[in-house]
Amino acid sequence: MRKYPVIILIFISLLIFLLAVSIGASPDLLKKKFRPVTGHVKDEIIVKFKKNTPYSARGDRISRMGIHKSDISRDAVLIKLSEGENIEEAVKEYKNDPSIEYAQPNYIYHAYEIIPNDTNFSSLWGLKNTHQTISEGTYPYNNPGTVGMDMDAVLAWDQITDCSSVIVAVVDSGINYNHVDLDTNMWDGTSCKDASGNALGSCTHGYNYVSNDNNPMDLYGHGTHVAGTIGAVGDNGAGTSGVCWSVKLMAVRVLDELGSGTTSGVISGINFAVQNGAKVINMSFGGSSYDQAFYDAVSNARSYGVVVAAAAGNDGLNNDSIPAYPCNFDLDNIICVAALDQKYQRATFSNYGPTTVDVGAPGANIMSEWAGTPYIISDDFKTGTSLDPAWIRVGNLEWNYNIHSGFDCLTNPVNFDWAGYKYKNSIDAGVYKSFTLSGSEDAVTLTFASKFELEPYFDYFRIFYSTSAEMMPGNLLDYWFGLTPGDYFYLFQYNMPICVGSTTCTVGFELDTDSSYTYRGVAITYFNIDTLTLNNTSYKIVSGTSMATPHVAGLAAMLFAYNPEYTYQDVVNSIKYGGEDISALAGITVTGKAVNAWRSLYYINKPTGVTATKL
Amino acid sequence: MDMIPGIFNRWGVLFVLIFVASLWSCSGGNAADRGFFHKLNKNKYVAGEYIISLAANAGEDAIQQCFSEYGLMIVKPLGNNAFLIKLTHDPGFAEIQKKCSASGGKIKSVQPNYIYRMLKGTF
Repeated sequence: MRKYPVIILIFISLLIFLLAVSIGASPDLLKKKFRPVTGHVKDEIIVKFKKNTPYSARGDRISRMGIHKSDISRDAVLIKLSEGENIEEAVKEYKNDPSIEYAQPNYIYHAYEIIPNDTNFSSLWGLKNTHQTISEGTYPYNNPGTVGMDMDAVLAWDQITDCSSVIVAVVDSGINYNHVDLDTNMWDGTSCKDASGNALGSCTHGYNYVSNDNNPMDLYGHGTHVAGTIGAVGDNGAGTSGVCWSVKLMAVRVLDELGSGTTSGVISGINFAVQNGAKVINMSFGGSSYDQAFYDAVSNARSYGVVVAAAAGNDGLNNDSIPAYPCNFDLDNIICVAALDQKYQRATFSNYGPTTVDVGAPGANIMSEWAGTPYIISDDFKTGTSLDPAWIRVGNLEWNYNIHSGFDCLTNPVNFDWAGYKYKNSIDAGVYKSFTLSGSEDAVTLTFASKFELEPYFDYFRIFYSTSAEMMPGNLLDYWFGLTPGDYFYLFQYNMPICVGSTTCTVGFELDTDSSYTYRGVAITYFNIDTLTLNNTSYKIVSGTSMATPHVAGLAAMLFAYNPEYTYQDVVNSIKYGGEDISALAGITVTGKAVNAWRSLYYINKPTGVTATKL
Repeated sequence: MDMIPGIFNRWGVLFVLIFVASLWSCSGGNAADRGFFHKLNKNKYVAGEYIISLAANAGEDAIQQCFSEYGLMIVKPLGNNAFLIKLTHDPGFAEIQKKCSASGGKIKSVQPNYIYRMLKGTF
C-alpha cells in the first residue's frame, strides 16, 4: 500500500515536467498572460447544494449570511453576503454544512492579453496604453496618457488576430507595398478588375488613379501609415502591429505627392475596391463640398455590403454646422471617426459632431509605417545680411534679400515694404538657385510662402523649375497676378516630378512687368524643397483623424473575419455601440463612445430580418 | 520669357494656406513648423473638369453630343456609370447644367470634379 503515494508523486512530477516542456515549446503560450488577478468579488460567494437538499431548506441556509442574488445552475446559487460578513468565514461555514457540496468566493477573471513581439509595439498606445511616453510624438498634450485608455486590442487578440479573409482597401496616397512590415499582408492583385468591372490582368496590389497605371506605390507616406495601423504584420519581431495581424491590404492611390486628389480618382478608387471584393474601405481624406458622385459611389459600395471608415476632419470644428465629406453623407455604412489623445480626450484638432461624428479612436502621436525617408532642404536666401550669391539674378538686380515683418525674404522690389515702395515698370527680372539632390529621390515637391500685389493681367509672378543649372529654359509651375488678401503670407505647394532622379533641381522666380502701373511687388519666404526616398523600413509618428480612422477600419476587418455571416450593419453596430463610453465624447458625437475591439467582438447585435407570427 | 495669359481671380485655383506671421520665424523651418499654418481659401474643384452620371439606358455618345462644342478632351469611365470629362473651352458650371438638363434624361447628373485632401494633422 505504501507504494501508491510514491506512484502518485511520480505521476504528478511527470505532469509538471510535460507541462513545462510544452510551455517551452510554445511561444504562443508564453505570450498569453493573465491580466493581474484582482481576486474575487468582495461580498459574494457561490454555494452548491447537494442534490438531495430540499429547496425549502436551501433558503434558510442562504439567509443565514446573506441574500440569494441569482441562480447559477439548478443547485448552485450566488449569494450576496450581508454587510459585515467575512467572506472567508462564510465559505468555511458553508463548507462545514453537510447539505452543501462546495462553497467558494466569486472569483474575478480577465481575458488573456496577447502581446506581440513587434519591436515598436510599446509605442502603440492606441492598442495598449501603459502610460508610455511617445518620445518623438509632436502632439503636445497628454503625453504620456492614461493606462488602459486604448482599444483593448490585446484582449481582442485572444480571440482573433487573423483577418486574412477580409480585403481592406486603403483609398489614399498608395501603399509602399514593399515595406517589410506590410508586404506579406498585401492583396495580391492578380486578375484584378477596373472600376467598371472589366478585367485588367494583374495589378500590383491595387491601382493608381493619380497616374492611371497599376502601380499604386505611395509617394507621400500617408497611405502607408494608414495601412500599417490597419494591418502591419503582427508578431513578426519587427516594426509595429496592425489592429489585424494579417489581412489583405488593397492599395488604391487617389492622392498625389502633395496629398491631394479629386472626385474622379476617389470614385474610381471606390468602384475599383468594390469590384475587387473589398469589404472595408478606409478614407482618411475629406472635402467641404457636397459631392453627389462620391455619395453615389459610397452608396453603391453599401449595396455590396462594404463598411467605410471616414475621418472627421482636422479643423477642430463641429461637422453638424460645417459639413465635411464623406463623413457627412447620410449613409449607414459610413462610420465617421474623431481623434482621441493618449488620455482619451478629444484631440484639439479633431472635428466632432453630435449627429454626424459617430465614434472616437486613437489619433494623436500614432506610430506606423512610412513610405520612405523624408528630407527637407530649407533656404533663407541670405548669406550674412545679403542675398546668398547662390541665388543668381538675371535680367536686372531687382530681386534681393530683405527682412519683412521680421522674416527672411526674397523680394522684388529690393526695398519691398508692402507699403510705399513699388516694383519697376518694364522689367523681366529672374532669380534662381540650383539645389543638389542625391538622384535617388522618389518624390520632390516645392513649398514656399508668399504675399504679392501685381497689376492684374499685365504684370506676372511666375515660378519655374528645371534639372539644369539654369533657370531657363525651365518648366513653368505656375503664374500669378493680382493681390493676396490681407497682410498675410500664403503657402504654395507644387510637385516637381522631373527633379526625381536628377542630382540638380533648380527653382526660379520671375517678375515680368509692362510699362504701365506699378504695385507693391512680391515677397517669398519659408522656402522648402521636400523629398521622399522610398525605403522599406521607415516608421513615423503622426497625428490626425487620418490616423484614428484606420483603427476603425482594422476593427471592421476583424469583425468581418470573426463573424463571417455579419452584414455591414452588424459590423457598424458592433463598432458604434460596442465601444466604451468616454466622457470627452459625450454630447459631441453620436454614440459618446471610443471604439473598443474586445467589447465589439462580444457586442450582441439585435437580430435583423426576423419576424414573429402570433399563433 | 513670353507673357502667358491668365485670369485675375485665381485664389480658388491653388492650394493656399495662411499662416500667422507672429507665430513663426520664417528662416527655413521644418514640417512641424507647419502646425502654425491656418487654412484660408482652398480650391474646391478642378477647372474645366466635370463628373457626368449617365442614365442606365444611355451610352457614352450622349456625352459627345452634349459637350463636343466645348472642346471635349477626355471622357474617362469611373465605374458605376460615372464619367470624367475635360473641356478646353469651359462655359462654366451653370451652362453645363443647362446643357445636361436638355439631354432628354440621358445625363442623370453633372457636378464639378471636387478636390480632396488627406487629413494628416498639422502636429
